[in-house]
Amino acid sequence: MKKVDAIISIALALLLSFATSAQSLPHTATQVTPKSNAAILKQPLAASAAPPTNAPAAKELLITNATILTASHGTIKNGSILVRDGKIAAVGANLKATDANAVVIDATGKFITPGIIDCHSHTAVEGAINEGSLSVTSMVRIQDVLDPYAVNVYRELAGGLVTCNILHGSANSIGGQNAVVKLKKGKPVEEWFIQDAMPGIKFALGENPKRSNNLGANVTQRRYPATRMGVEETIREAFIKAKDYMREWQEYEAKKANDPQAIAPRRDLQLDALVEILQGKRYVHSHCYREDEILMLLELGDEVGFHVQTLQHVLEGYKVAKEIAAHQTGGSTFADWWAYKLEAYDAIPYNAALMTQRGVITSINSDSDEHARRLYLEAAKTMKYGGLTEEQALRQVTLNPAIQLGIDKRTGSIEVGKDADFAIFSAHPFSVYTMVEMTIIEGEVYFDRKQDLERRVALKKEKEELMKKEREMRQKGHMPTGRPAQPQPLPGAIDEELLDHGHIKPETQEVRNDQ
Amino acid sequence: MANFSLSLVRRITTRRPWRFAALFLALTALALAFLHTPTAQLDSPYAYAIKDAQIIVSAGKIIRKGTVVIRNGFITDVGENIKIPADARIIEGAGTFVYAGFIDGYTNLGIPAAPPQTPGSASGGNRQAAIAAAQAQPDATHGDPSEAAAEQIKPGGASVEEERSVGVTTALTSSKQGIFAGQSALINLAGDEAAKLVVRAPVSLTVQFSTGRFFGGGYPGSLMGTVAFIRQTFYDAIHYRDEVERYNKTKRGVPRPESDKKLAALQPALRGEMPVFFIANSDNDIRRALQIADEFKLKPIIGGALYGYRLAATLKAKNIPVVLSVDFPQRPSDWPEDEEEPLRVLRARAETPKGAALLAQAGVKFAFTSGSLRPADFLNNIRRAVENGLSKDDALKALTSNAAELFGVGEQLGTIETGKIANLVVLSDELWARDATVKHLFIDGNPIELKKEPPTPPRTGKPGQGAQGTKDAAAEINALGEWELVVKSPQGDMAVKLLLQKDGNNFSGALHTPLGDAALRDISISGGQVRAIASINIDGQAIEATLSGTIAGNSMHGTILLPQIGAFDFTGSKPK
Repeated sequence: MKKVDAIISIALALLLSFATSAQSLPHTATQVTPKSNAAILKQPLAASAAPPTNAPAAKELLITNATILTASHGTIKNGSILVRDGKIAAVGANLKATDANAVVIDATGKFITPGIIDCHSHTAVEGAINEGSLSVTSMVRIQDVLDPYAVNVYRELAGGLVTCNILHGSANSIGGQNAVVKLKKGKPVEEWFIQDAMPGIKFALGENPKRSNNLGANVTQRRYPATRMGVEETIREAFIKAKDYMREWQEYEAKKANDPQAIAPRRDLQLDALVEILQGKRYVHSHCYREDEILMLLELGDEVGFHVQTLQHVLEGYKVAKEIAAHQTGGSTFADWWAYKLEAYDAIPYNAALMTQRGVITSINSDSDEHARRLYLEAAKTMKYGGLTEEQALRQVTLNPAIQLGIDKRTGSIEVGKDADFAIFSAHPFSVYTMVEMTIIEGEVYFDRKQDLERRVALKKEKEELMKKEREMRQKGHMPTGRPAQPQPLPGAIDEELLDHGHIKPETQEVRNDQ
Repeated sequence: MANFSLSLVRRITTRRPWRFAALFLALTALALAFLHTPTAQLDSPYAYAIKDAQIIVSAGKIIRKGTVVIRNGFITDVGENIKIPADARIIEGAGTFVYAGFIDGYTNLGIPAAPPQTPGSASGGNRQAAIAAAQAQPDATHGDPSEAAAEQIKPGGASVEEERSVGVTTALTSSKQGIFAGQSALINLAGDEAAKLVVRAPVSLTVQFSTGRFFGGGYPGSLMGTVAFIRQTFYDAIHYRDEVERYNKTKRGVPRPESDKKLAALQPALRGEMPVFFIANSDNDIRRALQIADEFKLKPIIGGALYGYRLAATLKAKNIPVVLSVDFPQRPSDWPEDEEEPLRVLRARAETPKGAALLAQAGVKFAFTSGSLRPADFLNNIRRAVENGLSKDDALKALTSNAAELFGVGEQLGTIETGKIANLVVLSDELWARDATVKHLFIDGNPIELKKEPPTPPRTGKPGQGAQGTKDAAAEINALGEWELVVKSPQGDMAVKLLLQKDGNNFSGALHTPLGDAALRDISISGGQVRAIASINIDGQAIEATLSGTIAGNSMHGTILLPQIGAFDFTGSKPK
């Protein structure tokens, strides 16, 4: 217990370090040298109560002398990136800032990649990630329950992660609406959403939706469906209802001008989302494993009239890669993670490479707050297994997920005009010795390793002072301690991957959050 | 007579609230004039004069030495040189401080608990039955916006007495069952008849993001499901409104809408006439509440708002009032002195008492609520807010006039002015002194006999202290065995068995509930305190329940805390 607390404390210290010192300390990182004294990096505030700074950002940011892995057009040695108003203004050799107050980061010896993108995340969700009571929960939205204070967000920033596809869990055939966000820790959560990202929704096939119907070992009453057949039928039926509903609205729209008695149909949030899918205004991201269920969903989409944007996990995707590619459906998979349940047995580490070679836009995702911190290493594995090129491998966690999420116009590669989202590494991002030194979102630094280390001293002091003050208050009797302990929630207390790897006894958790 | 008049007033109130004050005064005065003749009430005079006291008329307006006269339930005179009527009973007020009665801005006072859930042993059959029961009663989760607190109130009770003992004379009360927890009522905390307690009803519609559900299935079962449920319900209310309007306009050839009292009850909120009281403590919850309010053009009040200071500028910009909880996070009572805690937790404890000052500084209008605090701690924590920068005037306003105005009774309550309802607190010292005690209390002009302060329970020893060794050993033996506990859940009482054992140096144990069994882990028994964690399966999700109990002899009381769901008190004993 003590040990766990200590670990949490360190993690929190890490997180909170950002908040305090952003206000109190000048920017001290050596690799950052403002051109003039007036230029101070617009620092995001991290964790807590303080509102974001309103200090005007330097208009320009110049990163020089780096090895730039663009993810779209090769690697540039000794390159510079000029950022203006949060966008990439120029990429190349010997760039000069036009703004005298520009912030300059000397990145000699460093490697820069586009900000990492995770196409399958459940991070920073307040409350359960599954609305597990029904088989179709298209009315619930992740956007309503994002927790900008989640500790894991800072840890993920420390792994170069910038953009996340935050998904509902996989308990239901049709789950809730996802949110595509940038991890702008310290900013109001409203600013996290990528406004022009296509809305999406989670579907799930196979074991999870069919076994999530169990309310407990002793309960015989079950939620429909309980088989793969039932999952298919659940999805089909939902869309039949959605089509009726869509027709009802179309009829109303047609007659409302002439019919004074016409009133709008009852707005149904559950069916609204499905109508959006039918109209091509919402992406389907479907959890799946087996080749048969993959083909089932693609064919069901053809029959009913919806497009599957991505297949998530898709561990048997290599068997039906041609069919997936023909549907212009993406595959978002794990590098080498399988066998945590029966339907995840027939997996191979070559999956991503084989799908890529068959023309499937493929990405490597985390589905885990822990893996999300080192997705670059997950991507590296696709070079070993299947022989992808360095750039193909990097695209697994940058440009490809951006395409899958419909945000490649603004992020995913280092190209002029795109958002200035970068991870700056101490060594090549595919080296096991590499460390993320800085994470930049739209030209603002959200993680700075050097600063983080320095701030720990101040945080330790703050903590000691707060504890001392409380002790004095308690002695004066001014601090009631009337109630017994409320447990401090463990960050990511129930990690999905731990469950499926059997580190937590299965009887304590019947529904996996995901995989 | 009085009863009839008041219920008439209430009916009129719902339609023409602006006339309520005048009507109320006229009718009540009339009724009282008939009922309270001096000859019939020799033992209980109907006129009082509090003499030579310091009178805090309203925030910032003080009479150093003056008199308040009350008659027939109203303040009839207040000032420095007042002629005391011959028939008034005189209360020597020298050295005391008279305040308008304090108002607690959100409580569940007088609202009876829901009927009990099927208790029983922990067999599968019962668990199934309990889940079926929970599904058969969706109101337990969904609530019912047509439920009026004013019609549920049971007068009296220990919690009302305890609340009064610190000077609270008036409280907003609401059911807490379900997401739409019904319509609140502002009540005076004295009187034998429920109808006479009500000062104004309905005041607001209570909406909460917690389902208040303990165990059992049904939609919604998650926070995001709750948000979707609230939105869908308001969309349903909009559709219901359209259907009813169409039917009222064109009676022929138009389908007759099905009567729906729940959707009908939401109409005043949709029209912006009845405020929606969102219970929201975290800034995340407040953000959710404001989004829903924007989507449906509701008139929100934020209740709780413990972390509302983080959104002070937004609340001010949108002009949203707050009923502020002073139920600040506390250091657990059973933690050792050197227990390491995360900085985030320490910061929250240091920051939250400053919240009131920050809200006041931003210009947000707020009242106070005691939350789950004991009444004595309610006032002490308001004092802490003052120590943390809140001005005394702002604090007093929050406790009196702001609350009265927020709940639509600014004309009747909140200050010591002629014609207002005679709710008065006479304190031995200034309100801000921690040892100030209530000398006299008047509610509706009647003197209230005060309950004696309960003796403070002895502090239990801290775990891990050497000197406590032998005591601890005895306490430990006492804790082991089988306990029969009753957990108070929103669905009623639930019988739970707690088993604590010791094998060698290790504790083990189990929790048997009607919905299933759970083994305990991380058990600590020390100094009369028991703590343990149980993984309970709810809707297929494992929830870490933390049980904390305090043992006194053969009985135990404490809390079971379910993250995201809530804290549930329990009491119990060890059968011989």
